[in-house]
Amino acid sequence: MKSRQTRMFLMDLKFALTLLRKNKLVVSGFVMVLFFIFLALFGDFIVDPNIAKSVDYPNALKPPSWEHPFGTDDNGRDIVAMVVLAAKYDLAIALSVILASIGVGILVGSVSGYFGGIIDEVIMRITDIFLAFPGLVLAMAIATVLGRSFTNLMLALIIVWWSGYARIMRGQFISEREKPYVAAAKILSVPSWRIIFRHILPNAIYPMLVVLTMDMGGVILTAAGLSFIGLGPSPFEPEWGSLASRGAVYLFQAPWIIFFPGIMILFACLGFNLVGDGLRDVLDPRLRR
Amino acid sequence: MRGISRTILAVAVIVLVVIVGAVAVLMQPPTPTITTTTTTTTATTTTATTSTTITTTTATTTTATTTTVTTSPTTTTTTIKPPNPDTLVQETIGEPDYVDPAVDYETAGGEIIMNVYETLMWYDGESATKVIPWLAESYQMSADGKSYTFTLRKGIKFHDGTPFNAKAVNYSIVRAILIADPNGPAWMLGPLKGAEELMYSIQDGVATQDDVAAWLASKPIEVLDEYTVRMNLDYPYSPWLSVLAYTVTAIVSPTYVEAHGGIVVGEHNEWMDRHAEAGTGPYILKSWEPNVLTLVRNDAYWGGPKGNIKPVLKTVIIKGVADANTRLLDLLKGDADFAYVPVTHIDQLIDMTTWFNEKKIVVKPEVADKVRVTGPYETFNLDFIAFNLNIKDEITKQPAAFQPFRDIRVRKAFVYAFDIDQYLRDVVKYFAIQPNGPVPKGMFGYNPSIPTQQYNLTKAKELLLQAGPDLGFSPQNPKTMTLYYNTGNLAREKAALLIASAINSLNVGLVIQVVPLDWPAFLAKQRARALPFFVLGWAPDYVDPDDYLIPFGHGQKGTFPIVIGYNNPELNTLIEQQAVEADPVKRQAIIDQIVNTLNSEYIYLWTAQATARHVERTWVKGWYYNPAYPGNYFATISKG
Amino acid sequence: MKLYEYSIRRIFLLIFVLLGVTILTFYLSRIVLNPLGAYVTERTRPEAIPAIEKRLGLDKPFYIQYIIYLQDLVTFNWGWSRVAHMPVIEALFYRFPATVELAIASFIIIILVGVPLGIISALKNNSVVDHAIRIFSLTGISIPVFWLALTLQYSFSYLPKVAGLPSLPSNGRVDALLYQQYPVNRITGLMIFDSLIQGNFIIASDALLHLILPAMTLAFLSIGAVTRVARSSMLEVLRQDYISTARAYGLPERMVIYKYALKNAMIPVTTLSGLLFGGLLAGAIITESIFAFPGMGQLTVFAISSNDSYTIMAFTVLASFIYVLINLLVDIVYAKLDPRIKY
Repeated sequence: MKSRQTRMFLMDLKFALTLLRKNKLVVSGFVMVLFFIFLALFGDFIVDPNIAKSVDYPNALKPPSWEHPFGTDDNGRDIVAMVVLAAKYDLAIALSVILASIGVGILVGSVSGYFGGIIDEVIMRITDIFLAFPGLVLAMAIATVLGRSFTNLMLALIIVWWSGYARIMRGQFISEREKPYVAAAKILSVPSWRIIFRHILPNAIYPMLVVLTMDMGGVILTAAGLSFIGLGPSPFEPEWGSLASRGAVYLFQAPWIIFFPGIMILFACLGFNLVGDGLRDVLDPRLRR
Repeated sequence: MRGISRTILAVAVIVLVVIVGAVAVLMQPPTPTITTTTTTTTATTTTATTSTTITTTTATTTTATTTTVTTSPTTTTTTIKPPNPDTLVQETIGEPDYVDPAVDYETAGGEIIMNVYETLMWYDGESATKVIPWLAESYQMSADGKSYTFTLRKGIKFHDGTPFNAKAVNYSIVRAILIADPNGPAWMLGPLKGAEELMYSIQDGVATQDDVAAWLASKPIEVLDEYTVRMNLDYPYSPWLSVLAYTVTAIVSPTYVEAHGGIVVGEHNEWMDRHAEAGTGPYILKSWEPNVLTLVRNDAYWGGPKGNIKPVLKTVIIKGVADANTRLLDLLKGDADFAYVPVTHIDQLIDMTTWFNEKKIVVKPEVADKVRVTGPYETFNLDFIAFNLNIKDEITKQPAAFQPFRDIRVRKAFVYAFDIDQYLRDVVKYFAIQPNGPVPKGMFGYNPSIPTQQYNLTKAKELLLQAGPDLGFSPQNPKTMTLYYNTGNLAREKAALLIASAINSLNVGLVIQVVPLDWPAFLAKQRARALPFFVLGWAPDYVDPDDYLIPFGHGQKGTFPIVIGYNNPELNTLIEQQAVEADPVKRQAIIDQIVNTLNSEYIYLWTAQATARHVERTWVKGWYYNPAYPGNYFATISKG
Repeated sequence: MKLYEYSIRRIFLLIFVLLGVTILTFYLSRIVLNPLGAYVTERTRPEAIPAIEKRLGLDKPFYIQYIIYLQDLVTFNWGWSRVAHMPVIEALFYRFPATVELAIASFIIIILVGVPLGIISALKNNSVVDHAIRIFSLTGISIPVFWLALTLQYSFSYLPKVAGLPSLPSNGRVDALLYQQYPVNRITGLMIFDSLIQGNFIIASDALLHLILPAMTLAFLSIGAVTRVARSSMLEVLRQDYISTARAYGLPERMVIYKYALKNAMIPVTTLSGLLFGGLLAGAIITESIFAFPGMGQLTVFAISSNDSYTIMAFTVLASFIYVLINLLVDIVYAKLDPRIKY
């Protein structure tokens, strides 16, 4: 039984990979994402991480040269080095926000969707409040109370992000709970939590993969936006958005400060979006040819 | 089908391009007309003639520095005529909080107020120390120094047509006191008889109508006749005439105020907060749209005490433009006549090599026909880092366990670790000097022979390694500390990063994290004594060392000693002594002693005393610098 | 369930959600953030603080403060905006029309560009054109807003200005000097509309110029979404039986697509554009602050950095209200357009 399942899964995977490989856009997206992950994992070995924690004003705002291919920022730090060092912060933000939000989303959505009735009604109205509330204001409140740091930026984004997932997961659970396999499990008096997490969840989360992949980019963008309006971490915790936004003041004299980190954000997000887009084609049988 | 889909795309694109292109090309706003009479060779001569000569003379009696700027008459061969000779556009940062003189306490509002309203006394031209009768004709101080009698000028009318008289003077000053904004400048009127006590009780919410009536009946200000008014003080207060030159005492039309909400004790007048159109000054605030304030000329202006002030500009537009790049480009293009160009962008206008080597401002040849930069002008703004001797936990309000700055070795090490040369050269671009104590250069009490703090990283490391074991940190067992700074001020942020980076590089077991905070959050943390050490600035209210020695040194009254838990009774006594010492030589000696004590205890790290500059189009004439002005006085300025 | 019953139920829920939003706003602004912070400076005497608290009503129990807060909300007594230097409600009157104008401008660009691109993409499925459009739309959703805005500002405003070429304005809503010379009376607050009906073409064109860069920025971010939805719904419609039937009848392809397919393919696009417009009204924060466009978004950024709780609260309530309302409208319109949907 198990081996057959595995075999079917492998076949599926193989088919999916063939489809993906045929699509050049998806392949290039994968390359971008892998490059991003590579920078995040090995950045500290490629560049001296102490660069991010120090300043060197005599070298501030130097234009691109052989020594500094992307120039230096207003704190005199090499932008290549900073961009490499910042990758791990961005990956950490994207991963932790997505994982934490989907975790909360699953918890809230599953309870709401599976049980329905008054529980559903109450939980969903609370979710609605969070959805309607401007995320920026929430994030600001957190940044003001807890101070501006990398961890607080992550926390703020999770609080903003979970409600959307909760709503989608609820929808998934509602449609899944009517399916025969759930009825069968209920007749066999399998406990609720087991039905939710062992039976429904794998089916319900499968279509979410696309959204999650594309949202990895979305989180990086939102974090960058928050950094730009001044809710980002200190210059000692480089994040691409905050690196780039420091350049706004010097746009006229030193456009390179904003240009290169911005390009990195663009490529990382484009990578995730291309992969997500490809995944959608694979997962959506209607679009299969 | 293929054709059609392409057509749709093409049409959409063409429509957009046509709209954008046509509008952009056709509807350009009027550009300056350039009359070139000679060729490019004139560029060099232009620089030579427009460069300014700066002579700094120190007045002996007043001991404040006056900076005189002599601009050689510009005999440029290339003349650019301004497109709008009647209108001056000023691009700056920030918008006024209010334009009501009774409550506004910042420079953007001050600039509007000083052009719309006038005071009994005001500064004589470029002098920041010489206060002359302005709306008053003459004054007389009583022998005990406790009362001042003013004779007012006759025939002056407010913008609303009502006459200026003694009643208006009484009304305006009483109004500021009754509003008693705790965050405003009304406290300066404290020396007036009973005013401080009344303002406190209004602010504490305990003043009754009877209290107010009783205070008024006690005659702090007496209207003797139509054009004579007397002010009675609680005690002799020599800076009183300077207070009467400050915007808080500006005279407003009582008829106008009464028609727009009148006076409510302890409350702002919301109409007056936003409207300034009933003063006696050369301009009237016509409109205040978001980020744009428009002043129009008061054609009936009385001409000032010497009768020679005849405003030329019909309209002055003051735009708040947050982006320094835009301000700079608008100035170069001719869309702005005055622009605030920060230190970060000044290298686009002036020759930095000459400035670094000779401390002389020379405009770059390629912009010299358009832009004039004058300065440097001394300001009394002091930036510093303060070490908290009694760090508290923000939530529990209890003293924190780790108190590194109680150890003088740590404070000393931090002072040694700050690379002041790098800061002055590469961060503030020499638009600041290193202070040697709390008294700024150019003010009475400043003693150039007091040594400045030194940069010495080796000593810093030595001291921290020594102090580490006693305080419980070592390279193997590091402790973390947080340095907070308020966002938005780049120079302060960079000072914070510089010292944090230096301490971290020493590897002595002290790790400094930097955390940016919004200004209100920063202040809240400061009030809670939760900032271990912080970067901040101080600007004076009145030109006297008292306004520095108390806030920096007095353990019971000073703003900073209170928040950092520093109280030295000996120092407090000295500060009180110097305030009443009449002999300047003796006073100087006491001040030196105070400064030396503060410096030897390493309570503060003095980072910078800023110097200013002024940037304008070459076609602007008649501007002058007065450090006591909150902004530009437009009545003497013309264009063309 | 009938459509109107559904609508009534939704409106009822709307009130519930809005009430929830006010509770959250109240909680954040009164309990989490200390509102005193805005009124107490380093010069305030400690003895004066209780009086300030009393004046602001902060000495009362929280539930009473909340009731007062709600009363003020419904009577439009929204307090004084410290960053706008005027009552909050007045600041909204000034700034909301600016945001609306910007939203309309970018919405027009989005629809004009996004829908045709999506249709072309669907018709030329899997061709090079399709891929190019796909990359274009994915770039739109992958680009940092502030980066795009600053890049546009740099290349269309800064560079031409330095080179002495005609440039696009990058700051504000209208040239202050021109506005001074050719004033426009405020009628709706939409500057282009107001100046046009007053025959003031100079200000109208200047305001239009000022709109170009911010509107392009906002539009580029959302074109991708519209293109994608237009493409996939067009693809789906083209696979429907009735299209095959029409083709089988030998109707010209042009007629099949524009007469039969397009109409049905536009239903999801309508829904999406409704949501998009709502988003544009509530979310142009970064774009507005970079282009110094005096709308709600710019004000909110100022308010956030100076902890101006009254302004932040007003923005929050307004943004949530728009969000909820637009969602409701979209659902109702969707139900009307698509007869398959039953409640």
